[in-house]
Amino acid sequence: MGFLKRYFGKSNKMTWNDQLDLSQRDALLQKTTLTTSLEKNLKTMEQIIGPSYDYGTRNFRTGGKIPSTLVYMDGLVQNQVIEEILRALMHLSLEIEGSSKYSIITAALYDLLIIKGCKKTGDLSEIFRDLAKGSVALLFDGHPEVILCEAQGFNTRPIQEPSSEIVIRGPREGFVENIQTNTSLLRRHIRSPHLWIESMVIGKVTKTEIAIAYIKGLVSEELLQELRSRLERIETDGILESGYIEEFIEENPFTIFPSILRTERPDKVSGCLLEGRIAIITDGTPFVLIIPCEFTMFNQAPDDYYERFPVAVVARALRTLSLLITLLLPGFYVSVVNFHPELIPTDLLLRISATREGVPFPLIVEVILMEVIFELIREAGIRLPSAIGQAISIVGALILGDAAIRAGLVSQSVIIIIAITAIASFTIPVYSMSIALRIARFFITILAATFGLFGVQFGILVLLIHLCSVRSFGYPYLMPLGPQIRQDLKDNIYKHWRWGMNTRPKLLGGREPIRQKRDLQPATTKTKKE
Amino acid sequence: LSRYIYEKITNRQLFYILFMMRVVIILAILPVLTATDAEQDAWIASILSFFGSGLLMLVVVGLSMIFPNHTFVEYSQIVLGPWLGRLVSMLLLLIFLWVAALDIKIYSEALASRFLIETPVAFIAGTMVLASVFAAYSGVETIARCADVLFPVFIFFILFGLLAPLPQASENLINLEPILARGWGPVIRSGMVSSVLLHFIVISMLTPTLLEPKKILRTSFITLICATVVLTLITLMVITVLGPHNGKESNFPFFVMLRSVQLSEFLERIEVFAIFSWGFGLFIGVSVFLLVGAKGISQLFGLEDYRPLVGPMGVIWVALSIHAFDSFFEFHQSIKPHISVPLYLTIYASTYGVVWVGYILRKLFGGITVETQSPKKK
Repeated sequence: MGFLKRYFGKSNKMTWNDQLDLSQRDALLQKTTLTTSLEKNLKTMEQIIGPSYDYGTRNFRTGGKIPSTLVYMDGLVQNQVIEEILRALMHLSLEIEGSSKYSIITAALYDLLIIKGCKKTGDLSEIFRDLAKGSVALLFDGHPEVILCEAQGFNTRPIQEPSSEIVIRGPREGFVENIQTNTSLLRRHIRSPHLWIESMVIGKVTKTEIAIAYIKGLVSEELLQELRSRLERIETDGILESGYIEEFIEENPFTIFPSILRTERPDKVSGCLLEGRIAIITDGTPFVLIIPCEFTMFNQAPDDYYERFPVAVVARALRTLSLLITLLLPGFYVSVVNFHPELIPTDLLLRISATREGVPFPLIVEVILMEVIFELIREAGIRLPSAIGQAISIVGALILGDAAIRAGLVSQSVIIIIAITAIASFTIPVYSMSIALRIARFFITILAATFGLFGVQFGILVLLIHLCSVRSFGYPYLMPLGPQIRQDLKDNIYKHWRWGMNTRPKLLGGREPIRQKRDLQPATTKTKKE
Repeated sequence: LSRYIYEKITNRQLFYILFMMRVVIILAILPVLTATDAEQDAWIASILSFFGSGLLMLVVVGLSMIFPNHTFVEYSQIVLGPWLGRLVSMLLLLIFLWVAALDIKIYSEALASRFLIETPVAFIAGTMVLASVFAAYSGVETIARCADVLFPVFIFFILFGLLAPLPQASENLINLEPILARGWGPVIRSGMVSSVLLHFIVISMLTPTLLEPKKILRTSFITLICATVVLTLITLMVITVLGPHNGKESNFPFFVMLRSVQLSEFLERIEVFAIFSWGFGLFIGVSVFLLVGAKGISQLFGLEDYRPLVGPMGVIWVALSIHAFDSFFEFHQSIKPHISVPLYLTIYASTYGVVWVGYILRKLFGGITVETQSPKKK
C-alpha cells in the first residue's frame, strides 16, 4: 500500500493534529520555524504546547507601538523579573523602530533589559527547552526571532545534610535536586578556573541536563573522551535519576558490586576531583556519580579525612573488620559448627550445642531464615514513614527474635550471629556496597553449608577472581590491592597522616602526581630543641 | 581505553606467582625431609637445593632471555622447525597438565584425609579446578591481581606458621643434632629432589606477558632465594618441633607440626588456617598452569583465543588428578631420589635440552640467525 500512499496521501505536508505520534511531533517541531507575524507565531506555539495549564502569555505593546508578547511557564519564573521586563519595554519612549541601525531585538538585548541572562534565538525547540528551565520568551511583531531571558524562580529543597551519608565531623551540606545549586556547591569548594563543568543534554523527552565536572590538566584526557563517548551513545526518552546513566555507562552489567560511586556530598566529590576523577551531576537528583571508582573507596567515610590520624586508622580498621564480618561470619559459623566442631574450644561448643537443642531445622535453614527475616525488616523499615518505621522495625525484630527463640524455632547463637552481621553491615559507608556484600554473603553461607570451610574458601576465591577481573572505566577495580600499588596503600585500609599523603593515586593522578610539598610534617618539640 | 595494557603483568606479580607456586607444594610435602633419609640434616638439603634449582632455572630462563617475546611453544618452533618444535612443545604442555594434576591431587588428599572426610576427592578437586577455570578464563592479569591480593595473606600465614611453634622449637633444639651424621650423601640426594621440582617451567610461557621481560632472570632468582629461605626455615622448624623421624613419616609434616602447636586454651588446631592459606597459593599455581596450558595449546594449533579451551581442560584435569596416584604411599615412592631425579631430568632434557641443542647448533653452523626471526602471530 506504500506506493498508493505516496501518490494519493497528503503525506509530506504534516500539520499539528492529534494523529501525530511523539516522534512525528518531535520531527515537526524541528521543521517548524517562526514567521514575522506575531499572531501566527503565538498560534504555532499554542499548537505545539497545547492547552497546558502552566503556559502563560502576556500581550503588550513595546514603547506603545510594537505589538509584543511575553511567554513563560507559570511557577518556574520569578514574577519580579517579569515585571522588570514589562516595565522596561512598556515605558519605552525612545524612537527605535524605523531607524535602520536598531531593531527592537538588538535594542532590547543591549540597551533595555536589565537581566543577566538574555539571548536571541529562532529555534522553537530551544525556546521550549528554555521555557521549561524557567526562562521568559519575548516575541515582537515583525521579527522571526525571540529573546530568551533567564527568570528562574521555582522552589527547590534547601541545602540539607544528606541523610544517607551523615558525618560527625565535616561539612553538613549535601547536593539538592537542582543542577545549578549543585555546581555552585562544587565551585564553592574548588575555586580554581581549572575546574571545568561541561554540560550536555540527555533524554529525548525529558531533556535532562547532565554536567561533567573535572579538573582540567589533572584528569586523564582519554578517560574524559571515553566518558563523553559513552554518554553521547545514550539515546533514550528520559533520565530521571543518575542511576539511569550509571546503568548506561558502566562496563560490568552483571556484577553485584557497584563500579560507579554515587554520593550526595560536595566535599566527597571535591576530594575525588582532586584525585583526578570525574563527577557526573544529573539534574533532578542529589546523587552525583563519580568515575572511575575502586572497591576500597566504598570503605572510606568522609570523617576519616577530617579526623586525626589515630582515630581515622582505628575507624578504617574497624570498617575493614566489619566488611569481613558482613561477608564471612554466617558462613564461618555454619561451616565450623557443621563441619569442623573441633576448631571450637570445648566449652564454647557445649554452649552452642545447648542452645541448638530442640531446634527443628538444620543450621543452614536457621541461618538463612533469620537472614531473610532480617532483610525483610530492613526493607520494610526503609519504606515506612520514618515516624513509625523505626518503632515497627524494632518491635518486629524484638517480637520476632524473642518469640522465635521461645518457640524453639531458632537458637540464640544464630540470632547473635545474625545480629552481629547486621550491625557490621551498617558500618559500610555506601549503601550499594553493603547490599552487594549481603548478596555475596548469602552465596558464601550456602557454600559453607555444602563444603564447610573449604566452601568458604571457594567462595572467597570466586569473589576475588571476580573483583580482580572487574574494571571501572578501564581502571582495575581492586586497584591499590590488586594490582598492588604500594604508594596508594596510604589511603586504603590504612590511612596516613595528611602531611604524608603527598601523591595522588598513581594511575588516576598520573599527570600531576605530586599534590603537596614534601616535609610538611610539623616539627615536634623534640626536633625543635636540636 | 587503549592506554591500559591488557594481558600484561609486572615482574613483581610474576615474583608473587612463582613464589607461591614454589613454596606451596614444598610446604605441603616437604620433599627434602620426606623423600630421603637426610633426617635432621634436611635443612642443609634445602639450602643445597638452591644451587640445583638455580642451575635448572638458568636452563629454563636462559631460553626466555634469548627469546623474551616468545613463549616456549613459539621459540621451540623457531629453533627446531615446525614439526619437531611442536612435538617438544606438546611434551611440555603434557607436563604442565601432569604437574598441576599432581598438585591438585595432593591438596585434595590433604583436605579429604583431615577435614572433609566424607567428601569424595573428585568433588574437592573439581571445586578447586572450577575456581581456577574462572581465573584462567578471566586472563593472566586477573590471576596476577589475585596473586597481589593473596600474597600478603599467604605470607602472614607462613609467618604465623613459623612463629607459633617457636616456643616448642626452642625447647627441642636437640633434635637438630648430630649434624651430618650420615655424611653428605643423603643430604645431596635430598637436595636434588626438591631442586628438580618443576614449577619454574611456567616462566617460559609467561615471559612474553611481562612488562619487563629482560629482567626475568633477576625476578626468578629473587623468587628462588626467597623460596629457599622460607623452605629452610620451615624445614628447621619441622625438624625441631616434630623430631626428624616423626617428620619423615608424616604425609604433611608442616601441618602435623602446626597441629601439635597449642598457643593457648583457646587457640588449638591452628593448622586449618595453614591449610587454607595453602589452598590460596595452590589456586594461584593451578590457574597459572591451566592458563599457560591452554595458551600453549592455542598457540600450538594456531587458535585465536585460548579461552574456549579452559573449560574442557579443567574437566580433563579433574579426571587426571584423581588418577595421579592412588595412595600417598605411591606418591612418596615416586619422589624418592632414584625415581624422581632421573625422571625430571629426562623431562628437562627432552624439552629444554633439545631446544638448547638446536639453538647452539644453529648458532654454530649458521643457518638463519634466530633472533631476527619475526615473531609468530598467535
